[in-house]
Amino acid sequence: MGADASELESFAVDLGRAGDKALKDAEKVVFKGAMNVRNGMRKEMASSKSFGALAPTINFDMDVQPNGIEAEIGPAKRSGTASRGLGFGANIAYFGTSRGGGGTVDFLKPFEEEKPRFEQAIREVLGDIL
Amino acid sequence: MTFFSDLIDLLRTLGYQVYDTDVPETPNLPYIVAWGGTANPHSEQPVSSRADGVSDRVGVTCAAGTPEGARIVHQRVRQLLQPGGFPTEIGGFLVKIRDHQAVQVDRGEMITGTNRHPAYAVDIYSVQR
Repeated sequence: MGADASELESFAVDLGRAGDKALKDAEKVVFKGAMNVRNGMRKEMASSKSFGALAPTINFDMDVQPNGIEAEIGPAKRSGTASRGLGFGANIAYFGTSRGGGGTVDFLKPFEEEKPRFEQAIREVLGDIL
Repeated sequence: MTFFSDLIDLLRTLGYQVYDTDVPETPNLPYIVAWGGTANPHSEQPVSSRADGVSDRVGVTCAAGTPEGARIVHQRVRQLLQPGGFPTEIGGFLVKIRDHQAVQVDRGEMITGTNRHPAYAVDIYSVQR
């Protein structure tokens, strides 16, 4: 699943100029945003009668580099047959199968709800360099 | 006419078999199935979804006997619903691409009379008046 983050691209470019404190603060903002999106996605999944049991498998990983901070949020896709099956189940809940039938959950909704809050928070942290 | 029937009619102009939400046990490949949406998740409440005919989110699944076939159907659907990458209007609603699953093989299904699996791609569209 992809989310259009094109509006944040310029921010990503400028992040390399931020100081250590600003980077630490930005990391906290990304962490909080990712946590909120994860919780929203879990809530979406939990509301499904068919796929609710998969809600706890949704989590996020953060990648913090000197010039960029990234969070990847979604159902677990670790190695091992059982974990792959969980990720596959979430894929069916969202996209369906060749017979259709997706749409049980909306993983983009929590992201869209979080986006304005995240942008506001990041503006407050990095206002000077944006 | 509801939004959903307008969408089905439009998809039928491509010449493929088009199913509304429900695919029969032995479908004719290639085919397109339109389904939706957030307010009335079809897999759990199929009837209300159809009755309203309006949703804030619809999915279009393109299935074929081979990945190449699914890719061709999907490209034609995408060009029809997002010509040149722009949103289109169907029955007074603005339809805009929201998410996409690339072509993959559905190993949970078999093509009748063969030992092969169908391939499919999915587009999810937002629908707004």
